[in-house]
Amino acid sequence: MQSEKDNKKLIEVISLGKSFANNEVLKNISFQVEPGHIIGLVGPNSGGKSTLLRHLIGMYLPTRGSCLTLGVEAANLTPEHLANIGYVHQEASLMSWMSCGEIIKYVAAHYKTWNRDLEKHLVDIFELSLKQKVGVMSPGQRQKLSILLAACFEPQLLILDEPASALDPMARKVFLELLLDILQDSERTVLISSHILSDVEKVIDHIMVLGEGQLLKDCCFDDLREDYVKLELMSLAGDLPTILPFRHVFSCERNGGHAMVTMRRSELSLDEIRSRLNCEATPHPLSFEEIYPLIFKQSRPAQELSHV
Amino acid sequence: MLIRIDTHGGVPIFRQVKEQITRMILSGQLTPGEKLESVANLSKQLKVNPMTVSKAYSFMVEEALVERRAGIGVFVAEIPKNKQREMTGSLLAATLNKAATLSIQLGLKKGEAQEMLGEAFTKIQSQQEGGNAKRKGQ
Repeated sequence: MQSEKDNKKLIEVISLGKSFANNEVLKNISFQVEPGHIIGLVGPNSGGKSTLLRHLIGMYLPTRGSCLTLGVEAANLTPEHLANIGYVHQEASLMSWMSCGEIIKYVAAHYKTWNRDLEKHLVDIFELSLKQKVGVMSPGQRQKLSILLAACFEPQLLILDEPASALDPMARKVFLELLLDILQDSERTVLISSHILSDVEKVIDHIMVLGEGQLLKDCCFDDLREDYVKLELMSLAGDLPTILPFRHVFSCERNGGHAMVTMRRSELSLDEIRSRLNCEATPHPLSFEEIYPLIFKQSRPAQELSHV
Repeated sequence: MLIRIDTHGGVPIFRQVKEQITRMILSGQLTPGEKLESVANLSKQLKVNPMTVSKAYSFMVEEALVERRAGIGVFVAEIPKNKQREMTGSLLAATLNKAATLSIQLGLKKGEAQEMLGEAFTKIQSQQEGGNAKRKGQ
């Protein structure tokens, strides 16, 4: 990732591999994270997202390669380092015998940087009942509480593992706004994993896609979106040529003079396509939900698909 | 600035922001010298990543639609007449191309297509005038 203002790295993962017994869960993963971003980590369930995030805070140790968080090997993170990292994971395990208010007080006492105003704001807007015992809270309420606990000490790095999975739409909206507020301070970064794409789509600026333990994409989110397109071709005279000059095609529906081609963006410009094929070419952008399955699919040259 | 973000359509958010502000500038809704909303404010208002708004602004700076004044903000630039026409043309290009292609496919002559566009133009204009008169009458 490029950043003009700062080349300080919050995370640096180098050739990370992880195996449990003979099962290779992460394969040769390398990436860097700099301050001032909201990064989405997406991928299918059991694709390795949680395993990767756990390496960042030293909960798991790499089988191969290394993982530096805040400049330190994650295995050697001290309490001072950890005081700069917030971590929320899927099955928030909180002390069930405490009340919501007690657990907030208990955690707040550990941090000099605790933001009381933010705490009050989130208790209020998440509609948390301070007297309720954590053990009887709903999964959604518990998730809200864990987000509050991780956000209020204002860590430099906030790692969220499927944080919004149990939240209702209203709480999700509040949660996304919270992420954007955090980013107003350009020194801070949020790394958020999700399999619900619409959760993260509006707020992230960078995306990483993890599939079968491999990092398939690590790029600016807008670049990813513009790399895939559905191109509509309308011939100006007769049928379109049998072979279309595109090299990375996923699907092609055609009917004489009309075709819809889903593909990686062509190296030809629209005007070049128009003049070569004597047609009008209209690119239709694809939503992230439409792009996502294509990332896992092999594209082929158009001539191999021309019988379709 | 009233901007609407559509997260389902597939157009990257920075492009949507850029296109809508460009339209406001070309239509005179935003005038030269006018200050744009700050990146922080607009990203809060639209609930999108500040980087996204900043990217939209940078593209508009590159196209000389707006100017960045260090430490003060981003302002609508003075746009020369010929450039204004060129930019209006590129905003309309996709829609016009599609209409022209369809006209050719349907076997229309250029004159016929122009006539139809003219009719559509007149119809919408009179609807607009009707609407304005009604509002004035109220």
